Amino acid sequence: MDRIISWIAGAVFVFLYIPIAAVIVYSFNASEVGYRFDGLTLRWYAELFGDRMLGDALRTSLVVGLAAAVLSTIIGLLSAYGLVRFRVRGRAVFLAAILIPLIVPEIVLGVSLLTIFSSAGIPTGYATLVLGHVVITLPLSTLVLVGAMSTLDPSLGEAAADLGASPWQTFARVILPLLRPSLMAAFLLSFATSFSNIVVSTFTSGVGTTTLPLRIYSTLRTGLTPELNALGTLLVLATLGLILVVGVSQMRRILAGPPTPAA
Amino acid sequence: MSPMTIDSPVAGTAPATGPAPAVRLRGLTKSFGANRVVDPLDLDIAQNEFFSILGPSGCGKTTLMRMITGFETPTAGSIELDGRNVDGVATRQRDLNMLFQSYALFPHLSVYENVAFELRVRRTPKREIDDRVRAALELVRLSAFADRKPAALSGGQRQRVALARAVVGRPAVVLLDEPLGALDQKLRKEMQFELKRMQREVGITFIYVTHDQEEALTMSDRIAVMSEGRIQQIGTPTEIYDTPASRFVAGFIGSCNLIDGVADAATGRFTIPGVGEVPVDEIPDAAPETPLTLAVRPERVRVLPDGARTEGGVHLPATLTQRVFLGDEWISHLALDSGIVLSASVPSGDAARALAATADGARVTVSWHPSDSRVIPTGELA
Amino acid sequence: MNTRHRAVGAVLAVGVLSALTACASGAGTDSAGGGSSSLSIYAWAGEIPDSVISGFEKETGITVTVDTFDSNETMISKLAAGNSGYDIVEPSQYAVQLLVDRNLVAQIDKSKLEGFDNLAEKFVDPSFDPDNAHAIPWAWGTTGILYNQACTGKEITGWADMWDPAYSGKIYMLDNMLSAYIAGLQVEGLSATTTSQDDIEKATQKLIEQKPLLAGYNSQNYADLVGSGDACIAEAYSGTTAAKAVMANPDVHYIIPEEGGTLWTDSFSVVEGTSNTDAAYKWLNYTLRPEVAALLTDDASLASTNAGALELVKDQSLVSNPAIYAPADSLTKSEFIVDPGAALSYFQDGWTRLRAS
Repeated sequence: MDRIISWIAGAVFVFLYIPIAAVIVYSFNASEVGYRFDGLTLRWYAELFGDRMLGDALRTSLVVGLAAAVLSTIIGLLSAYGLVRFRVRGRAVFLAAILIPLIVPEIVLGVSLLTIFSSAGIPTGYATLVLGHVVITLPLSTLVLVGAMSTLDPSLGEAAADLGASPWQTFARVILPLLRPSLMAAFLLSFATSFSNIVVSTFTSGVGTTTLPLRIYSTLRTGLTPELNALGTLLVLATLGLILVVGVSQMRRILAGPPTPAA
Repeated sequence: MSPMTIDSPVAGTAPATGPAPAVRLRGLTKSFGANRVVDPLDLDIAQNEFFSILGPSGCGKTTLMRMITGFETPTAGSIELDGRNVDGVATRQRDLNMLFQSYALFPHLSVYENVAFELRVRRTPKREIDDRVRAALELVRLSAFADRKPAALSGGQRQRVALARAVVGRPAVVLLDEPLGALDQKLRKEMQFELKRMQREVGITFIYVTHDQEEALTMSDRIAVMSEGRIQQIGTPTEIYDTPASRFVAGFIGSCNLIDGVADAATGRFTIPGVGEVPVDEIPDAAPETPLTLAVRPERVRVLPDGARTEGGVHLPATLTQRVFLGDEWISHLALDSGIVLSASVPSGDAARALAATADGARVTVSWHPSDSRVIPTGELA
Repeated sequence: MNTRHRAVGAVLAVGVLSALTACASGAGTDSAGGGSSSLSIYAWAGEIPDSVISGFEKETGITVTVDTFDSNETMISKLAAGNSGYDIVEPSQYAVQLLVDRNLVAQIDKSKLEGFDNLAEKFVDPSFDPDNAHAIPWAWGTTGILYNQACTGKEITGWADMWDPAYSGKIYMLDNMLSAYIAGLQVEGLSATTTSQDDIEKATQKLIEQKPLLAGYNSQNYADLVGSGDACIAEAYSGTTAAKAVMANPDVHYIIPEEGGTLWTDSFSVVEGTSNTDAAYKWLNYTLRPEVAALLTDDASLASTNAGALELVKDQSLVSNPAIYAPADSLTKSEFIVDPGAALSYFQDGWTRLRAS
């Protein structure tokens, strides 16, 4: 039975990773058409690095993603802190309001945002992109952080206060360190959502601020080029790199700490 | 609501005037909505005292403690720490530390850093932090564990870390919230001695909140027994044990035979309905019809052969209904003819052997000396 | 603890700074500012080669920013919201009228143009933009048929072949409502630009009849499928993808169906309300030059509307590739697809029923 399960697990993994493997393999494909393999080449990587527009779009996506993720995490943390710690009137309403963008279709959000920006006279660009992305990522980071804050032992905060810590010191020395994994999770989730977003970006981007997914999507009409396989491969490698960096430091913490707690 | 009367146990055992008491409570009350959790109470705790607040779950002792630390705001009344009123003063500015029931150790910090927390927060110079933390760890005998994380410690070790953390800042008062509850029996007994030793060594006032009367009796200089938001009695362990002021205290502390009846102050006799008069040493000042209870500890009750007599004692015929062997003693249940059941505890020895030889259902004589019994009011104190 | 605060602060600062500097440089191209040192273009991806942009920038010193859209509808809604910031936009032919109706594009001042005569005849005063009042055509293409002769076994000549049961399961139609109706209408001898409800209904029936023979509706990778032989015959757009397929496999051919086929054109229009008109007209004039228009074919594998460009194209094989430049004689019956206007609802209704059948 165990063998069957491990076979199934293996099959699932293969299924999940075959597209990624295909992207990497085809990024070296000398052929211009996708259905044939004509030998190895680095041509697409050269084209990728020479593609100014794609490079600009990538930079835009990174900047917007970073800014939106940072803002979203901070606001999410503050909301979570307030919602969990204090018996504020209308907590449920506030939480529901934050979660609405999860339910409303993105196209509705996008069009509404564009309408607001244009009637307020705000030119579309980085600012509107970041604002739009914060709207869609805030529910995610808030949910993650509310969950994390709820599991924090409230007596820890009392203990810190008892030992002389001001509310800020309690926050910085006790709450933040304990929330660190969740903060990272909220940040990465927000970043990933922002980076891959198309619909809201379509409406909130401005001159010179086309994001990467928009750029790629717009090439559909003329046909997707193998250059995108090269881009995909680099993104996969970057993600792997990020996982390794974060994972290694986590691993070190786990290994350096003592073994299972005594009874 | 007026504070306790002059006859109250509080006034009777308040410490003498001298330096300001470590903690002084006057008229302290707490209500949650319509629910009165702590009745107005007065209390003085002396400097360097090991003071216990003892009572069953829900009696209000935890709320009382949280008001002293500042986590709860009193509905009425005042709290003075070292002579200064702390009304409105935040917890972190009160010169006291708390040892939480769950220890509340910071899981992401090492033992060393947990203990050093208060000193770091108060920006103590680095060198001094190191000295004091090491001393505190020495005190609780955990120096070797300085770099461990709380998750890697046993319950007893964590509790000691929590204690070290609480005393390193040299607070005037440490409050301990049922700290030994999570430990097993043997460890608990060890820790009781440790705690007492440490309190003596460091010279801090300990306020110890617990529902375990054995702990309170073992460690305390004085105990306040609480029930339903009110203090029933304050006194030294001996006072509480030997001379309980109310039926509740008598029943709560140790096991006790409690026999209700009426007394005649004039004759000095106590009448048990269905049994008759028994001699007693003292009858408290009370109106003639006040319900009274005769309290006598099982270890003071002797089981004599049927018809035997002792000089000046109380003798009642009874039937031996049950005997329970507890290793170091026998507990026997004796039914008086009126139906009242008393228990007698007989330590190992000749008397125990005699008891073992007696069969269940045999007729015996229950006996005690009047000086070993006490007549106390039946109801709670007004 | 302090190092962490600093790290967080640093990340925030970097993020905010990048955003601000990017905003600042973005603001430099703000058309409302009126500075003619920049030009913002909103266009189809792959239709303005880098060589054209850098050539323009070098000659005029004007910085060009090109953003791309995935559909005319997205472009129209972006412009309709106002304050888009763009100076030049590149609509497809049917979108021109939609933009004009909404007052989103300005009338072209012919007196400011140079080289307008270079345009091929077909694109002067076209049906979708009388007198070129609002758009200067730039690139064009056709909707036709891409087929693999090794798979079909014979030469294909028109839409009718796409209803041939011999190829059942190996036929693809474009996943686009108007494109599919081109085939459905023309195969019945009707005009692809009809607005008659009866005509449209006939086409719907014809398409429903075809559906069981189809392998699917595909606008993404039909070229690959035909090239590999997985599909025999597909409705296709001319252009880069079709050209690549034809060049990669000698069995693959692109034809304009004998029933007519259709033409599409992407043109440059000036956005209404832009104050960057100088730069805009400089761009229009630059792209009307034959040597510049030739770059469209050489670098982007697309057909240029510029008559003088043909002989200047360096790689002449591209000019003779029917997947890029359809031969003139095959285009006699081709029509420009325009916005159906009110008749759109008939198409939509038919398309819904077709997809559900």
